[in-house]
Amino acid sequence: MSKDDQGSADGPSEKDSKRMRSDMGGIAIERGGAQMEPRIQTEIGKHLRAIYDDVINEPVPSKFMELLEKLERSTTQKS
Amino acid sequence: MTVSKALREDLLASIPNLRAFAVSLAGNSERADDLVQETLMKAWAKFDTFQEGTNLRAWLFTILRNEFYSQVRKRGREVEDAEGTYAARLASQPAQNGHMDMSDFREALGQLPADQREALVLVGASGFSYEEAADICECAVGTIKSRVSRARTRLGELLALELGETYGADPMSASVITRTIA
Repeated sequence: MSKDDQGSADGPSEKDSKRMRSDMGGIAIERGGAQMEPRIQTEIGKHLRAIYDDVINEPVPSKFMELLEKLERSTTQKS
Repeated sequence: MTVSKALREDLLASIPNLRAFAVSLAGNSERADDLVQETLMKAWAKFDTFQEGTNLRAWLFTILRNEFYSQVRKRGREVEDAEGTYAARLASQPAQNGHMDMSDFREALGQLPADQREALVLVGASGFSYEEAADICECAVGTIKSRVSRARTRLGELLALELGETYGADPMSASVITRTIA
């Protein structure tokens, strides 16, 4: 196994990719994300980010601000 | 030690990202917030080991991830239970962006092996490079690539079904399909 064989995300060569495609009767879903039908890839990315961004867009709970202030005060007192 | 104002601001700005990653690991927001709190305290305590100017977000993600897995090891059974309800909880979340198929996607995401979900989230949602994700997960870049690839393939199968002939299937049959092709 060469180093390049470790990761399949960059995908097999074009030749391999064509062979896999014909093996699968034209279904464009293969091992490597890079060979997946672009529309599907885009959908996965969109869904994933939508779920993630739901949390990102929530306001930061005030307890975290309070915690940082507390940590800061304890540091200031020590030094 | 004294934490510079700039670093404190950066820390504050990282919280939304840390929470999103924590939710993806822990599967519920209460536990996620506990993780974020632990992360902030740990980060503060060892800021002297952080090289200012390097990637703070990756540094914080590493702390959070280590904290999560150390809790998993400590809690054992309790966490097992949390893992068991993960998919159900994700699937029951209301879709907030109006996509009809979002709850199916959440369920499929929840059913991925934890290492694949983690890699996919880091690269596909948090915006880390494969190299950064490998640093955070303390594994080889090739390992991250293959985890992301397998996760994408698995989710792609589901989405292809949804975009194809099973479009419009009710949630029950969609989840049966999901399990059948797993």
